[in-house]
Amino acid sequence: MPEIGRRTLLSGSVLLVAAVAGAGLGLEKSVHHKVAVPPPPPPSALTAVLAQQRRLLAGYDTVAADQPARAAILSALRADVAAQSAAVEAVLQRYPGWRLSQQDAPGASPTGSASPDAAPSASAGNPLASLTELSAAVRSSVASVSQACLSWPATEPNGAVVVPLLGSIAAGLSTHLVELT
Amino acid sequence: MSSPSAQPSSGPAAVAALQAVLATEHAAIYGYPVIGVNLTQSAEIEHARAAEAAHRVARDGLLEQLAALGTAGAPAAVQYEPPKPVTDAASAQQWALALEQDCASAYRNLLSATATVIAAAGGSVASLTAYRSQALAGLTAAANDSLYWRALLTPDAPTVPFPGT
Repeated sequence: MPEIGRRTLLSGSVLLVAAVAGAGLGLEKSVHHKVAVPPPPPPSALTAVLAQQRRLLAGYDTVAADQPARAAILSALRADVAAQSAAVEAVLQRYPGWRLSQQDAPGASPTGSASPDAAPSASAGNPLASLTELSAAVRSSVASVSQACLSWPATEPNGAVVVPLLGSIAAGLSTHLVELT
Repeated sequence: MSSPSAQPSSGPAAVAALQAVLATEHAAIYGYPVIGVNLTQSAEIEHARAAEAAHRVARDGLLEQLAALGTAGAPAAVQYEPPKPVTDAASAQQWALALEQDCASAYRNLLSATATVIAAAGGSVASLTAYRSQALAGLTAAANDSLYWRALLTPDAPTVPFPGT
């Protein structure tokens, strides 16, 4: 049996260690590529605001049909809520989890703008069928949007946009209450 | 337009935003008496008086708040100019609306500051919430006063979606 020289043994060992290390790195790299970690969902406070606004929009559509004498003001208030809803959606686009959910949602538009029936269902509530119910829903929205504004985390990356937006929406909805009552 | 009774520890970072709010309160206090003498309807005059009183309360609170933070509140200017000369009820209503919109904008900026400079300065969650409560109350009050004047000027479109912007 031929004797193996020290130099041969050493270089062989080095090659073996390098091969094992390389394989390990390659394996790790491939694992990183294959495992897709889903982005965190968007803040529930924002999706809840959006759901409430979509409910208000549907409520305005229902109530306006029964209130022809107040059609002009109801139309103006509805336009405000539509603008607020669009602004909340625009902010939600900053969250990868929201964008992903919109891509997966059936019927989602290419821009990620979801149709009203794609609203988060958790806080959608019952349809609003009367002016009284609409007023109550607006009052409830003022409270919940205000609370979302006050409790938004100080360190959340989009706070500089979200906090004043929620404050403006809460203040805007409070003026709607004056008009509805 | 209330001010927090406790002084938040992140106060120094809020001074600029509070001074900006104070400036708009000074302007409103100056403007409302001029507005009042040009209004003709008793309900509007009464609303102007109530609004002026509310702005005085807010101003006094801000001065105390700033003093507690070790800063003197900026004094009022000698004179404030309306966007257009106030010569009748309509121009008075327009100035009132402009003054309230300025207040709303300043309070909204204070709200923004709670998510930027005030937040960066640290402080407790309670102190941040106190500033936000103050800002939100001021923004809401100014939005509702704006609504009152805008409803007289443009009855079919008395509201805006984003007060303070």
